[in-house]
Amino acid sequence: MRVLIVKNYDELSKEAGKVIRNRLEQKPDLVLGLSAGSTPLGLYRELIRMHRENNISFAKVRAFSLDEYLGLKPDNNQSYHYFMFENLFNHIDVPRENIYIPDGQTKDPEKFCQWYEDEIEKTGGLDIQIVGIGRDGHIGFNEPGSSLASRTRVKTLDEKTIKDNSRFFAKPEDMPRFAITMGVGTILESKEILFLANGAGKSEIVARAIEGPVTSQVTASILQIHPKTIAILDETAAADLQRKDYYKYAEEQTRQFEKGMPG
Amino acid sequence: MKVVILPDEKTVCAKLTEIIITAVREKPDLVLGLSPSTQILPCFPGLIESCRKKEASFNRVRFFATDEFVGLGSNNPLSNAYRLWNCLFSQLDAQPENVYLLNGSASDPTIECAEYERKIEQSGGIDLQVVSLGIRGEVGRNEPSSSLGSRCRVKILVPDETTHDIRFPRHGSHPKFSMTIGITTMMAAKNVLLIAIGSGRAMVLSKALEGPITSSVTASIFQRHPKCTVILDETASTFLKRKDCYKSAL
Repeated sequence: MRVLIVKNYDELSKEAGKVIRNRLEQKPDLVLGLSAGSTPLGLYRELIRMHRENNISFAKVRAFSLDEYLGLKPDNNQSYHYFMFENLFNHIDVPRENIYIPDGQTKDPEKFCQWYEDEIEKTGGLDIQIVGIGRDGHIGFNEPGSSLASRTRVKTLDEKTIKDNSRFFAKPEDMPRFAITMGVGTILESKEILFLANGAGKSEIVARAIEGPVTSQVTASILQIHPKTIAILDETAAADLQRKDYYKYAEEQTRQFEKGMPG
Repeated sequence: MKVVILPDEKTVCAKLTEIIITAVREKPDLVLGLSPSTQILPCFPGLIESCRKKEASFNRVRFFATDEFVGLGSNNPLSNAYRLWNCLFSQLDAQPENVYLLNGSASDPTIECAEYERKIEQSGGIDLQVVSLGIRGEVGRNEPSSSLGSRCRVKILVPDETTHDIRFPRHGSHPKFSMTIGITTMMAAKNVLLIAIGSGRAMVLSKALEGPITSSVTASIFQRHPKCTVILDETASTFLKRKDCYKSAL
């Protein structure tokens, strides 16, 4: 795993933006996995800015969202559907028909989840998936105990997640208990993964995910077996990492190496 | 995982030699993956001796090395290629065209790594991968935090390397980059032999064998390999919790 530690959230968003921009330049019809939540919000602002100021186009991009609460209508302002449109899709030129978000209102979740997997496969697979991490170590809504080989399915949300996210709902009891989420196996098949974390509240779980055992108790730990994951962390989220000095050193060296590369 | 605890370095080397010789006899065109590390070097004289006594022929064996320093060509006495030729290949009946080494002076190391991975694949895959356990639990140059799904690629070496390689005694003279086969490359080998000698490896060996699978100790992935044999000396076994079980399993 390549671990990039930056000063603050602003820099994290900018670095993540650079990665996506670079991949878009290499492949305009990028298959992009997106994630709702507060962590990638700055990255989405950055993508919108690039679209406006630098003419970066998403016209050929296929966008797949990681997850959605079960039972929420798309126009519910707490749905991830609403979040993704409000914070990204409404402000860039990605065509509506290229946007895929799990359907929180599906009558047949099993059939829907299979369809979602099939749609990802039809594109040739995800090129790059953006993931954040929950305080319980989840990626997507793959809560502790999720199979590390799981595919898109309905998951029961963990108590910690319900506690963390219910603050966004007008009444805490409106917080859904279930979600549809891409599985750990689905995420792992993405050719590249961009793992983002910021804030002191995440430092302990980030260290367990990056340096601890590979375990279904911290589903993000599976990123250790992925061949191409870049973690971008702000200083506070990186605080508990034991090999911080090596990551910083390796990052400096990597940049030197890339500069010295022919072509 | 089969764990073989032997009295000392000498007996570890003898065992390693015996396993390689047996493998070569069974399959004369064996694809042998070798680490040029100082833990494995002492075992080379045994192989040379066997070859000299005509107990085994390396005439058709295909050799792959685990790693090479970026920037050091095979003519450079500090390179792994030089070390392997000097200490082993030149003294066996090995055919130069069967020796596949990463070219440290390749103009584009990234492409060199991808091609090396392809050559391994074209050989039919590694039959026997011999690798030693590094002091940070690394195998090849897959330093802690290396992806457990990695293939051959350029890795940044940890800076404190300088103190451990006698070829680079002067502080700061150690190369910073290495090309190394990845964890997945090694996991694809049909058989893996992991060597650990000395008390300096004892703690990290117990983590690799009995601790969780984690990229913090990349050798821990061998817990998932279907045919991995670990050969160690008594001093490296100090912290193994299930030492008695391993011994009785013999």
